[in-house]
Amino acid sequence: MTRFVSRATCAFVLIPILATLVAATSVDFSQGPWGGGVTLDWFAYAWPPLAPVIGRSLAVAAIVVALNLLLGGPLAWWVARHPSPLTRLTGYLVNVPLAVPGIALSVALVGTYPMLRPSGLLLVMGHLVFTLPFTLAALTPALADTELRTNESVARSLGAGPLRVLRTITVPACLVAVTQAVTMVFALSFGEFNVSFFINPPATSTAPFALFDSYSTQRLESASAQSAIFIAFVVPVLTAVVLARRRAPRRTP
Amino acid sequence: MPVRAPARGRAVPGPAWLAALPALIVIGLFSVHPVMVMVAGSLGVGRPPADEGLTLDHYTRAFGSETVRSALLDSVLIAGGSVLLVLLVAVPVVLRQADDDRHGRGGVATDVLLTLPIALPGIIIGFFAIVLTGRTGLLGLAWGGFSGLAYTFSGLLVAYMYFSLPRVLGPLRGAAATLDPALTESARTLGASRTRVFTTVTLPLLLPALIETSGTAIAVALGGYGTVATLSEGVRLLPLNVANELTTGYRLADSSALAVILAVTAVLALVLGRALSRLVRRAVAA
Amino acid sequence: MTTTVSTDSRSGGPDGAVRAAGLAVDDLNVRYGDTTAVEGVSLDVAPAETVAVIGPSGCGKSSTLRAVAGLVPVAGGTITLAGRDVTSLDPARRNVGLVPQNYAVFPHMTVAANIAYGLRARGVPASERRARVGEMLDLTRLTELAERRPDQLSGGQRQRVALARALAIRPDTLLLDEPLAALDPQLRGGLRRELSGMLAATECATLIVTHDQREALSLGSRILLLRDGRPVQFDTPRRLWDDPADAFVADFLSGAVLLEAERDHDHAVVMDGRWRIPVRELDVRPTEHGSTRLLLHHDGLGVVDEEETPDDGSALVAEVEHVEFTGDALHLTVRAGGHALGVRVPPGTRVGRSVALTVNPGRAALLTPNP
Repeated sequence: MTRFVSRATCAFVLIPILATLVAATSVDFSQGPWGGGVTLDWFAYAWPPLAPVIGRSLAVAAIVVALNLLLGGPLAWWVARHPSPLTRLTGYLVNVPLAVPGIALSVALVGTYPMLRPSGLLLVMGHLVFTLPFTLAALTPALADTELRTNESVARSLGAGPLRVLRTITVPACLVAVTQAVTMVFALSFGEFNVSFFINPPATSTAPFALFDSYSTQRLESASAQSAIFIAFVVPVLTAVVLARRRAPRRTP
Repeated sequence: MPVRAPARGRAVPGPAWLAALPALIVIGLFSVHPVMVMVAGSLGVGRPPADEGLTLDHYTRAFGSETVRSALLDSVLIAGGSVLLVLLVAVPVVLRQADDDRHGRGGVATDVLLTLPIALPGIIIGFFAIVLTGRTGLLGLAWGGFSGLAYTFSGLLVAYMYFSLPRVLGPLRGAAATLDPALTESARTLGASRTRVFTTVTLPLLLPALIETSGTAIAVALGGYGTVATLSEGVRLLPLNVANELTTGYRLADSSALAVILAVTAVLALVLGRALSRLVRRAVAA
Repeated sequence: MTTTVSTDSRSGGPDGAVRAAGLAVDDLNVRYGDTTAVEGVSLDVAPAETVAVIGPSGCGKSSTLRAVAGLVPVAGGTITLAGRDVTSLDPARRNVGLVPQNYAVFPHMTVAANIAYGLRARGVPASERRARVGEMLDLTRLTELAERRPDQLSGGQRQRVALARALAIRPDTLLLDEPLAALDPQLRGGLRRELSGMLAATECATLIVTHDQREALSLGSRILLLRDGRPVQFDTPRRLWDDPADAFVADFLSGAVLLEAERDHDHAVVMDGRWRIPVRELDVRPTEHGSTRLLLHHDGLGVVDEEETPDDGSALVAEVEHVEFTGDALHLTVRAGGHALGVRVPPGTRVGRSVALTVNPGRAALLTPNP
């Protein structure tokens, strides 16, 4: 029974993706699946304009990941190691973008910093505050782990300085959590649409906007090809998320 | 001979919160402050062009509008309905996953597939609905009733189920993993049927997590803009109105008021979920 | 090691009656995928009897218990419970009382509701149910805790809740999986005696799985020893102690050593002739297991002073590997002829790098097969 429901749920996720692939390889989808024959032309047609946009999205995602580690890492360390009413309040504040719908946050950001929009800075910052909660959620429990803290004090008692402890004990122990955070943040930023809606630089937009545009202006086959290309970029990142999660030590609360 | 630690000038570290400061500044500047500015703007005390003086006009106008009211209602129904429907399939799925995890079974492929929708922007999910149940959709070939379903209430409901699926499965899986299999095994040996074990042991123990997860997932689904944006010629949801106020004429204060209404609804779902979950946890324990 | 346990070699256990009332397991096989967890295990438990299944971790003892409870599929053999063949019966319909290792007390129910769970599932009327729960609370001395929640109970109290819950349904067999392993070692002794008292008060055929030999010896009226999923010996504690089937049984159960021996007129010759012990010093007993062997428990050997060492070969010179002070004695681990031996000596004994050992008269046994 549970197996049947699991299979059916997987099918529910998979079928639309397969259908999109069918549409993307049909000469004329309005004549039915592979109507008019099978073709890869739609991919060839979709790729050249999409390539630079995807490149831009990858770059934004990479910057957002770097900022997440740079700012979120120390933040998670503080929250994990110095719990106080102040860190609890910080926890609530960090999670504001999870409670406030993306489109609302987008309105708030563009209303407050319209001048930062054209440069793309506002987009990066929007993605950063939107993804920081995920980084914090992944890193804080790993850094709060008592075994890790014991190992750190043992390393210090053996004469290792703070930087050596960080490099040889803390970072290796958190590697799975970091991988999880990095891949998740990357995937979220790459596909982000809601927060980005009003803060993306209009002339040089990101991949989801190219898709959105093609949905309203292009043929279904071409839009399908673009969607398929986009999904092809997401799947490896997400596989990494899942693999990292499977390697994570199970914490029983 | 004892090995001494190298004598190292102990650098006096600054206070620990210094490490968190850059992140805190960014959060303050780009999350907390803009939200406050937005709330102020919706009350007429924002920056130009939303600086007409303290007023509730934008809210009265919003709630006075029939379209906004029906959009809000539809938003709540779609978000709540899709999450509740997902729960029906999510419970058996996470129980199976927990079982598989304990026995070291369970493939990566299933795992990836069930997590994938979280990384897909809502617009793609809307597009899926068009490909399958749009006017020339694939399923429409099998049965005419599927044609154009994407633009109806039930079509949107299914699309938002796709959107909510990983957001329900993720947290629920953790909760299912903490259920001790010895509990259900003991209940079985005591003579309880599978159904009875499910209703008297599994479900009560899972219920707090179910409620809390629902609250969170409903909050996220309420804000899901991309899916309905792609399917905007059908049922209209509140996020569309938020965007419209800006895209058609840059009415920042009106847009802010709608955004605040949407945000408050989402926070309400979140808080309600947490509170109810705590209540149920206590009730179940007693 | 191919020691077979045949039905007729076991002492006690009225076979026909067991099949009618108690629990009987015949030639049980359990497989998980390609790995065999249990192979050819047979045992029987009479009503009001307690049988302990013991062995090192991974020996298949838990799988045996779970197979009886119906929680793992049986690959071969039969399980008979109160005269019914339950081998492939649903666990809910076997009428067994299971007490899992962590007790699995339902955390969202009171003590009383936990105990009533099986009765409710059986549709027992409320008045009868209350009476039965009351009885069980009395038996396990939990009456005052009836309305408590499990998170307010100690480990020992939880164990009693699980026991009361299992007994409430009047099971045909009671299954205890490592009943004391989850408890504080310092409390185990007292709780073991308490458990033994409660078990004595029931008429249930009880099967206990444990890795702790003390638990098995004190709780079981008979003990089945498993190794690598196969049965090694099934007998009373006394006979396991006095006549172990092989060196593994002797070592696992009591830390004793079992040495191959030969009888040379009035001497027992051990370790290729390095040690010749006068038979009059030994307790000569018949064995049911194979050849002549010398059984040495910790109290079987003593240390003699160098000047008093007899030179007739009746003393064994052994290297001391380890000395442990246990309060009332010194526990020596010594090595001779490729064997490690445990020796308990009085705390004042002088111990050098090597010691001369002789058997304490009457305390070491020479097991001789029946002619």
